[in-house]
Amino acid sequence: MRTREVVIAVSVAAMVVLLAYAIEVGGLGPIAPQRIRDLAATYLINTYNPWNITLSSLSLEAVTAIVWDYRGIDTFFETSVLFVAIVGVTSLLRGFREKTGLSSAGLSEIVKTSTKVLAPLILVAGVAIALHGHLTPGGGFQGGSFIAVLFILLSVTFSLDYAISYGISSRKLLALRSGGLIGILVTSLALLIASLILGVNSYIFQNMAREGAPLSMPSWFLDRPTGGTLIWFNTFEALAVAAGISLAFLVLSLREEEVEEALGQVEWYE
Amino acid sequence: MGKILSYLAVYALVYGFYVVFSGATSAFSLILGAVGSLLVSLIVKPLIVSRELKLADIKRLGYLIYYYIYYMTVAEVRAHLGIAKIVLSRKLKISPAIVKVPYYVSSSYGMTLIAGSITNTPGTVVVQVDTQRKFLYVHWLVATTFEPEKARESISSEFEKFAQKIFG
Repeated sequence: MRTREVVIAVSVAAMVVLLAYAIEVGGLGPIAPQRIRDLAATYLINTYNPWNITLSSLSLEAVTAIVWDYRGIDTFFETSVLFVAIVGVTSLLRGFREKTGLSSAGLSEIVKTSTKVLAPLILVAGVAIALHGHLTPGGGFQGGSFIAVLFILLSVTFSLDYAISYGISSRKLLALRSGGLIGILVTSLALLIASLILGVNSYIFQNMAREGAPLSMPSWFLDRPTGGTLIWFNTFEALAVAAGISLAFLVLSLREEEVEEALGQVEWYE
Repeated sequence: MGKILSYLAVYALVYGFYVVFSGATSAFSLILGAVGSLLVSLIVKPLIVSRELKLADIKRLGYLIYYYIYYMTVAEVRAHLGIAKIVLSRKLKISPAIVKVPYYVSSSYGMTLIAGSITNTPGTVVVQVDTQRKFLYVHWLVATTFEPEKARESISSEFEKFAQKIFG
């Protein structure tokens, strides 16, 4: 028994040492390639390039700059796809009515109280991630998902009843979601509208000044860059995603009594 | 007055966490965070505050900080040493059992603090709570007694003393 334990201990230690040595001398191949491709280099150089603003989006975060500036229209349609999915979910059970007083047991008192303490922290963490999207990893979608997690946590630990009686309703969530989308739309057209008034050229989804389109979004707030449109896109996207995912979860977790009418209608159509 | 104080306390918690979480001290982050935290505080205050605060409650905060230091240094180390002894010894000397432990604090925050403290120290885990009759059901790795009062004495009386002072 004793010898077996010693053999196991020695062989595990030997494995760790040998693996460390193999990695150290590059025996497993390079962990990350040393050279980056030209396309990647172009984005990395121009993401924050105050010397040549016509190529830059003045954001310190390359991913956000690509997602919301260099390929902004693509992201706009991604957001639309999510919105259409949520419209689909709500229309599937159209005619449902949220009710309170059905079942409100939820999980144990300990889980409830712990969730209460966590709630403000989750919420403000989501806000922080969304607002810093153009400076650090993260962004509107990630921040909004954080906030949606809070709603899911609340409706699981406290029951959907509690969430509804706290003032969350599908109507409000849909309004918030639409508000976020309208915000995104306004942001993407902001410079176009300004250029129509000033009589110069500009593009849809324009962020910084481009060749022949001289207008730029305000790119600094106090002591940090805002990435022009990026901070607005992130803020509105966070709002839209938080409300949208919450709404989808709310509809999917509706109780039988709440969808009776909606389902009854379907039978009647048949 | 109590209402304003409650909002201020929630705001301090939210904004303090924002600053630590974002780790940024730029005016950009601090000012946007102040606005964001204000919105968050307005939304969550009715959820997390069950009674309006008074100015005298500030000493409860002092107890909380004292308890945190005590718990992290004394209680945790003591419990870890006990478990380490069991884990490292060649002979398994345990007597696992689920015991009933009463608690006497009135607020759910106090009860949660006790339950969390019990669970977070190795060797004891709260598996169920009966809020009506005020019992915690605790899985205890080295159960020495099944008597609720005696079990409380050796598991949670230390935690409960602070929970009473902090949350009431």
